[in-house]
Amino acid sequence: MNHYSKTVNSGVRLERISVNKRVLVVGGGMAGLETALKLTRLGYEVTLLETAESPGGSILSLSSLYGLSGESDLLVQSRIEAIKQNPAVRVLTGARLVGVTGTVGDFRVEIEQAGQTIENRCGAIVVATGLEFGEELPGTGSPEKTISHKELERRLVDLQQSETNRSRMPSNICLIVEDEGVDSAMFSASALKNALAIKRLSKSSVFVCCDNVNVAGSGLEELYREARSEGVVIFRLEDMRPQVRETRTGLAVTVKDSSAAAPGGWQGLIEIECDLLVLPERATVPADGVSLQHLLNVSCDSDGWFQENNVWAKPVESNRRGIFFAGGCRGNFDVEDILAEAKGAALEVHNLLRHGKRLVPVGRVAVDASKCAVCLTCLRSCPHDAIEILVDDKGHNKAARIIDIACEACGICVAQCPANAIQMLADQFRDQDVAVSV
Amino acid sequence: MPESDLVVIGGGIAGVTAALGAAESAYSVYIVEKNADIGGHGARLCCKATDACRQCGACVVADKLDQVRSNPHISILTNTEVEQVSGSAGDFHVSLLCRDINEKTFLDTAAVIVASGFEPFDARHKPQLGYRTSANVVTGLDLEEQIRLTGSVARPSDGRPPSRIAFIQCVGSRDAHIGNDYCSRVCCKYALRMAGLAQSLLPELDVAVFYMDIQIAGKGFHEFYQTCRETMRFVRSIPVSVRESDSEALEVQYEDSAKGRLVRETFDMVVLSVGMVPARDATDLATILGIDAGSCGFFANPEPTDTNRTAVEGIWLAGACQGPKDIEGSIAHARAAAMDAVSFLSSRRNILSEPLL
Repeated sequence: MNHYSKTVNSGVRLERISVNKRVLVVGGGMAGLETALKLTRLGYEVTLLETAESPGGSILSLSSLYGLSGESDLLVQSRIEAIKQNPAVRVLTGARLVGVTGTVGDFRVEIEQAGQTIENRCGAIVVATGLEFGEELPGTGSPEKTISHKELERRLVDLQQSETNRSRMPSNICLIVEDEGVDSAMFSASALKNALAIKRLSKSSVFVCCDNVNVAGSGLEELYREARSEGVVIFRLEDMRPQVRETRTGLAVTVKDSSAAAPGGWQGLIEIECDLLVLPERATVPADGVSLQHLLNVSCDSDGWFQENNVWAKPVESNRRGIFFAGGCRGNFDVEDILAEAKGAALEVHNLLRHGKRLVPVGRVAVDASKCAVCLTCLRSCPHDAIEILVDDKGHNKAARIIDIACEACGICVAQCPANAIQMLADQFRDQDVAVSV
Repeated sequence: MPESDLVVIGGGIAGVTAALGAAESAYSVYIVEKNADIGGHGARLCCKATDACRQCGACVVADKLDQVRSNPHISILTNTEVEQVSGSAGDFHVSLLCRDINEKTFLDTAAVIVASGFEPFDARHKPQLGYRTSANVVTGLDLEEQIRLTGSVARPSDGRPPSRIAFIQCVGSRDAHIGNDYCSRVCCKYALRMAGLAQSLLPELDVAVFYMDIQIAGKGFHEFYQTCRETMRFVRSIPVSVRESDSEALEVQYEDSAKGRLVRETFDMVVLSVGMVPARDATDLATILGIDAGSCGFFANPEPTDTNRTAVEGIWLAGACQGPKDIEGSIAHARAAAMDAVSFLSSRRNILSEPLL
């Protein structure tokens, strides 16, 4: 592995380490497909994993995309076709990642497909497992009159496909969006697009109730104006949550829109009679995404989304070098953003692997094996998975060792080691240097 | 004639990010900046941290500028404008006017990234809001600079801390009357973050936010908005006028929807949350490059899902010149443009120097 080395400063050398140029992309939705395509353009061979029987992802369940005139189908299908015809991409459907060992430049992965386990090696992994919409709804009203946004998307697909379905659309539809988490902006945008779609396809009356209309995206202000001019009624709620009760004929939703208030004390309380109520479900990381977080040992945020290393400096990087994120797995939903991010992830992979080898500073952090009690504190505290435990011939733990190619030289293990067995060897960080400067 | 792999037009956050992206792949990059220094509007912003980081990204700009200045693959030409571009992908000839010496220079390059940015909306186009006629009416950008330079919030008229401050949202955005029929995407965030900072600097400060819809997209911002609602007053109405009365107090007139009529309220400082408009020279630049200037002045992309692409092969868009973006969005967009450029350049020539971890 190493036939080139050069001393940089006390004890730190540069070593040339080979990296595998094959890339694993986990998830065959929009982000995964785009990342894979861009990687092949940069000259990489890609293995693309998809748990479903065919690639495409959750975007295929949408009836349309806001802000874009093209059909969501077309956007994805063109990419699926391009992937199928691309000899540099190996697509594994009905497949999931079940094991990962190794480190950046040389990950060894186990993939399960149709009861078989496939072993594979790759230099980098891109997670593009997307997001999922839950079906669970807050318990209001009768279940047949209350549906999720996801179910509405399904009905709109039916509506688009056949004329007869159009007459079956309820005549008064109320969509509610509440301000919660990162997904409220997404539901605000999709409520507007779906309200407009219903208006165009049927004679139904459509009401949208939300705290804030999300217009911070391409084409959203136009969408908002169009929806209003087509007769979609928008109520902006402030201090009162919408109240739903069942009536003899359907549902009655009471909302308070203060802009409808009038002099003389009327508070702007409005009762909307409707026969279909659409409530927002939560968007979450899908189950296979959650298991992937454990498998890859990468961080997630308080809402469970994959956590980028630094939102500005390293927006598509994880806490582990060589593992990247793209798309909905970070809670993104805007198609433009997702596609830009996929390109960004491809660029990061390229800058990491493009040469097939890297110059790695070795020995910046060193473990004194004679002091190491193998207590595993460093192993647990390292945010970058850059520590392994050396084992002797008899299988006994010998000492901790730093994996230089994955190490960010952050110094956390140095500070955490109870036996003081780990040292930063870069000049200004050795104990004696720190003592002098203090 | 100097040769380069990539010319980046504009040295704001998008331009420097794109340049760094290509330089990491060891391609040689020229940044052409028309102003005296790189940094753009991002370098004028203040850190909005209080007891916690508010993730405004202002610090990131300074970091990136340092990286660009010390990167051996990147050359920076300041006070320089692009006058003409000829040739085609892989072989562009760029003629530049360097205003320092008033001399023309030329560059050959294989690819171009346009990162010419935006301009803040000129609030004088809304004369009823009193900008430049009332001393204590400032724009969000004015307040950013004030906080960045002095670390405090003060009324321009007498340098004293305000006790009642109003933030007026959507100035120059979502406004069909002036032809800006879009949301600028940054103003809700910067206004609330600055209002929060002002309240932490002046704990007695009374804050009112006049708004249409608060744009809460983005991680963590929703939680922050909820805490703002506890300490600030949110008024869903855009004021019709701001008038200065004798004592330098500002009378804000707006429709109180709960009362159903116009009301007047007095503040001692008003901040106009100005949005983003296309750069003044965007149309000229579009003509020089042969790209689509777009209907509202932000460069248009012929393929709706590829916002980096232009009608000309070998020329890509990065950042707010394509449409309003915050720092995070500009960085992501610029990395994507860099990927396009690197992908194009690597199909022509691979660079053999080895990357250092």
